[in-house]
Amino acid sequence: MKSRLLEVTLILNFFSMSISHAIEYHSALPANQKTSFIYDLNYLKNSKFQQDVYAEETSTLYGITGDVSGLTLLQWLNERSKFIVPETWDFDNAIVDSWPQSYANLYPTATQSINSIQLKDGEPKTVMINVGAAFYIHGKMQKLALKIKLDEDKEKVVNSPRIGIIQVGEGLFYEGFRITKRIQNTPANAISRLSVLFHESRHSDGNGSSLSFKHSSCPPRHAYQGKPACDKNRNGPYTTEKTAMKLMVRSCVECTEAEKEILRADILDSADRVILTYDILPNTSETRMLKYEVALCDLEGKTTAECSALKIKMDQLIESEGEKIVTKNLNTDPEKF
Amino acid sequence: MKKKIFGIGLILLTIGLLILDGQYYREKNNFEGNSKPESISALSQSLTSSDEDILVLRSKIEKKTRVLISEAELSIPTFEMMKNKTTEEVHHTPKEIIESSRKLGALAEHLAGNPTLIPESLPFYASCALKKDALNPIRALCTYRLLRYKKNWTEKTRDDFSKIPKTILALAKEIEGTE
Repeated sequence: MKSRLLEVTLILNFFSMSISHAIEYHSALPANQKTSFIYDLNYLKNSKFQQDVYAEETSTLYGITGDVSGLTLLQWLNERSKFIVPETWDFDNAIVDSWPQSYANLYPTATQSINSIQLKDGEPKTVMINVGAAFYIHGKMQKLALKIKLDEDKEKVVNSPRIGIIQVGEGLFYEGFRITKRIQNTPANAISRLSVLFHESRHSDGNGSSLSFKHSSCPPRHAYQGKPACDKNRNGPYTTEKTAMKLMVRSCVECTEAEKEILRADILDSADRVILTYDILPNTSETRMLKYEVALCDLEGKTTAECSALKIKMDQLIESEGEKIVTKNLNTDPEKF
Repeated sequence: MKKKIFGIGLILLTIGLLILDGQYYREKNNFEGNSKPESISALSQSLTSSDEDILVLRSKIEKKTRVLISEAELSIPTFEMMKNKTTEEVHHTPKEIIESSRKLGALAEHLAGNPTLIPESLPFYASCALKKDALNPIRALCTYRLLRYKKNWTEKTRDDFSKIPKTILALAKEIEGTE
């Protein structure tokens, strides 16, 4: 009986180890960054969550059946983030082959650099970028299948946004962004870094119009007004990030009150970017003309003051006559060819 | 006899736990770079000296509370500060929010150790929650604190709280349950 139990335990341990080690690392990833990644994933793997209303909210959002645990969340991450490349990874020369490929669904009209962060004054650089999704969109726009070189002996065909190539940089580990400033690997810092990984992982989802869950412009009167730093849906990267963080903060017994307060501000910042309702202009000839004028204002050689006056006029019209749209969940199923 | 041994054992255990507890806080505060922990009740209990000493320490801790409140107040980021940020800079939580919440965190931790000083912090939290040009996450964080300190509210706090916009109240709800 004892040996049977031991056998079962060993199998379970092997299973959980293989899950935590499913993410692969580029050979040039700095050792301290890899160590932090392993620390964070182990922290998540060993996390235990109460099965309450918050866990229920998480399982609905993440599509997890059964209990929400560190392991199930890790599995969710592993399906979306598979290979970690360093900041020095040669993004521009990564494509080693390509051939014509037809894609299903809509074609995206523009790419955007997904989720990088560049800071000023010598502060670091990249935090995290889902480059896999960006390559998929790039290929789709050109109707090409792309083969990229990940590492010395590793090449992959980008056949889905779920390719899961994540680029990380010094910004993720930068002291100024840490929760516990002086020590890199603490539970609070792990929660903060993991939340970014959850955010980026959501960019591996979606198809057609929901492909990669691209961000939307923040609405008027928002702190980040006009910048693509908000989500016009209820299951995008910012919701994914705040939900995971909330669950982890609740279960963090090692976090101090001061650390939790910073993490709470982080949750609130993400929550504040989720647009629940927005107004659109009624579709009349007058409003269509106004939209056009605003969009082409710069090109028509008008002054900044004239352009802002037009923009204000449009905002006022939206406020007085706009139609309220309630946002909803988008389809998370990933495209594949 | 048995009772005596049990009593001595209990005293030794208590002393041991107090030593370990002290060591833990010393280490934690050392790595965070803080000065030694200050709590009115802990200091009052540990002192054997005169009432005057206790009063001096009390005033020192009250002064620290005022300093922490003032630092938190000065750190509150505004909409204006976000105007010239690039898309990349606001993609994840901007450092102004992190720095401000660091100050708010120091205050929250200080108040957790000195709950008798909570009433002194309420006017600050109320003005922060009502500050129109402050960023929503910080206003919501101050609102959350007001809700946590509800039993210390005065008439003025109640009145201030009633003026907090619905959007900020709804946002503050997002961190319910993170205690």
